[in-house]
Amino acid sequence: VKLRRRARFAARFPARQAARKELLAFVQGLPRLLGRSEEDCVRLVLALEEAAMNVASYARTATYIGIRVDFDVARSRVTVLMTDDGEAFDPLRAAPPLVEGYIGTDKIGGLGIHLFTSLSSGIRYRRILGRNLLRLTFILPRA
Amino acid sequence: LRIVREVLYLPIDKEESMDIRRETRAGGSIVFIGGKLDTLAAAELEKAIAEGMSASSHRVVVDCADLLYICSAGLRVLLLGSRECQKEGGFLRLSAVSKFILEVFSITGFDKLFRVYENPERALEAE
Repeated sequence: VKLRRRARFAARFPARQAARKELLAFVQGLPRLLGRSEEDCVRLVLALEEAAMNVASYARTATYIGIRVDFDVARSRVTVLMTDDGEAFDPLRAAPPLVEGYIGTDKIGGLGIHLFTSLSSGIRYRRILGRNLLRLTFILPRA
Repeated sequence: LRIVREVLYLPIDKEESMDIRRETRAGGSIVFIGGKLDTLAAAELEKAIAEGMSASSHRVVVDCADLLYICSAGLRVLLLGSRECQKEGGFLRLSAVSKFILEVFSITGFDKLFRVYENPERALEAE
């Protein structure tokens, strides 16, 4: 499948740890879907992998919609909306990991959140009607 | 409201994302990784590093020449591997890291924890 210059599409995944493999397969298939090289999409793919793994970890309590990922692709601009009805989680409130904190502990938390918030061009979180809505924006290199 | 025009059913079979191989040299082990070091592949790297530690007295170089990206789980594996090697008097060094992965290191502060070498031979020879 190759998308037109302006396209909207969505995919839905069950909210369970086992869905991580499906989420990864979907995210890593995006360059082909967008008709772009892996190098062009590397920030998008890594950021979405981290965001998806984060959602999969806290959305285990989701019941109705699970995890839904909506894409809006307009030329080089890709907007991704991740929706889940798991417990509330605002990644923008997570404290960035400190390098000093890596030393002497096996619990190295917050790296993934820090990565996807840093790699996206824009990020917005809202909690509406018991759902987490995380919107991420990416600008791909010009084709 | 957003209008979803195309809802795709996507295949869920995930291809192997990372290539990994290990070589034992005189000064230590070299773990060559390529492709995508994603969440599911991180365990493979952990295993390869552990094998390298056993084979070469905790002197390990991870060569990233063909690596497209590294996720947070992969970063954790590198950090814990490095800590383990240092504890045993060895090292875990990195070589041939791409510009994008250097950016990931910079974002996460890993650039302050790892010295990056031009190639695995240089990493093994370094003092």
